[in-house]
Amino acid sequence: MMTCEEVRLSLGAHVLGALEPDEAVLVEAHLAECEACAAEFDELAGVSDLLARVGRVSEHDVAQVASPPAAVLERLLSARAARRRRSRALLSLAASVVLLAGGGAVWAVMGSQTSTQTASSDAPAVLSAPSSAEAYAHNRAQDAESEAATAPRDAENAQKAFTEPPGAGSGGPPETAEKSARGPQTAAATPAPLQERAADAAGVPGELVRSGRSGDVRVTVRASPTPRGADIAVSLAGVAAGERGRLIVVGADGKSETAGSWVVKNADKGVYQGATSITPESITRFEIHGADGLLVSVPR
Amino acid sequence: MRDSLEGAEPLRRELRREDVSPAGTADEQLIKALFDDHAGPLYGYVLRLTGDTGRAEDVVQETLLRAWRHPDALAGKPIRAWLFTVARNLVFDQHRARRSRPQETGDEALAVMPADDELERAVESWAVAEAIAALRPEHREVLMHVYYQGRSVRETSDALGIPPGTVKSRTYYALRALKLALEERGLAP
Repeated sequence: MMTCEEVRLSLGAHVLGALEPDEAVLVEAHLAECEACAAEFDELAGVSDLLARVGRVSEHDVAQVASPPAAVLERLLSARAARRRRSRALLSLAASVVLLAGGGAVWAVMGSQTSTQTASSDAPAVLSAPSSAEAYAHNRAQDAESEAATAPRDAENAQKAFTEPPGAGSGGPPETAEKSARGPQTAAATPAPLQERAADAAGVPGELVRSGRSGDVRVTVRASPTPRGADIAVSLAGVAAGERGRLIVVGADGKSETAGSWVVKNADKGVYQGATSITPESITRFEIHGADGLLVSVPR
Repeated sequence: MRDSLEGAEPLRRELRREDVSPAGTADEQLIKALFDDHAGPLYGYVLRLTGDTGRAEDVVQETLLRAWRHPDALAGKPIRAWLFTVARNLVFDQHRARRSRPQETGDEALAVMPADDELERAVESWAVAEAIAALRPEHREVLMHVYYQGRSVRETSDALGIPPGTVKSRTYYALRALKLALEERGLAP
């Protein structure tokens, strides 16, 4: 006759079918008569069932889980550090721009290129994507500048909206769901001629995203509210490299501001950052001007 | 899908950008916390998808970076399922880019993506691997022999050079500890 203690210690092996047949018979006989041990067996059987349900986990798998590559952590931390250094540099740059502009619209031109390859980036290491890193650092600089703990606007958002085709969002379903749940879609206004919705226009509340096209020129403008007015990101395609471009923002009261200018680096796609004192809700029109005048007008 | 995954949610950290101090130490802690909590299972999962350690590392890095940058996206959601989905999409995006197709609108990509219940299973099965990894080494060792290699007590005793009684007791304590570890991860057996 086995004691309860002996049976208990054998129960793990019994649940997993590892006992020799003669011992298994003895354990079964005990379980038939001892409720406490039978209850213990049921609990362990639940664990065994779960293991069976999830399928085979190899020693290799367990080893990977136990020690993920430390290099990844180092790279993550240095990516963060690099961003911080960069944002400090941009902060001082932004300060000097303010001085030059005499307190007018702050205009940090970020002539970063965003090639279409970035969208389906072969090497997703973020640091290797200059447009992403720069735009992100820029936003961070502005965050720090305004000390506003606003919703995170980052390069990824900008990049998604500007460079990725519909349905190719690498952020995946959760992000999409999250975005559409964020509130009123600012881009849901009545479409005007030449106006199209951005590929991923559902944005944070208060953000205004509009796209327009005229001939070969395609533009998407995203205005994000800030305490001073709006930060603006312009994604522009179809303007020849080397040409100077300019964004004019027109407000509800008829006031217009040059939100910034840039030199086109890449005719295929360029993302330019800027700011205006006009708030997103009072913007009525964006105008992109080239060397020879108006290229495209994007109504609200 | 998310609701059903709620139960499989491991310990969740609060992710708040406001916590970030000027010195960035909170940022650093957040990154470390994300890495400690999720990098292991995520890496295992991605490595299985890519079969390439370098690519797996890149994808894990990018995924965790996105989690760090998107505290809002993660608020109140099963973070593990979010991470697995983002990682999976990154892997398939890379796959598409590798075949140098023009940008696709998703139909084909969807065809090669596992259904959501597959993702759910992956989250669960990597949580189990994580729970096993959390066991004491001697418990893990007998469990791998007895359960995953299907050895009997006697065979395990021979293989490991320990008495059969020790194999039995370790198997018992391994299962008890595993039950706790699974419950901690929301996987109630």
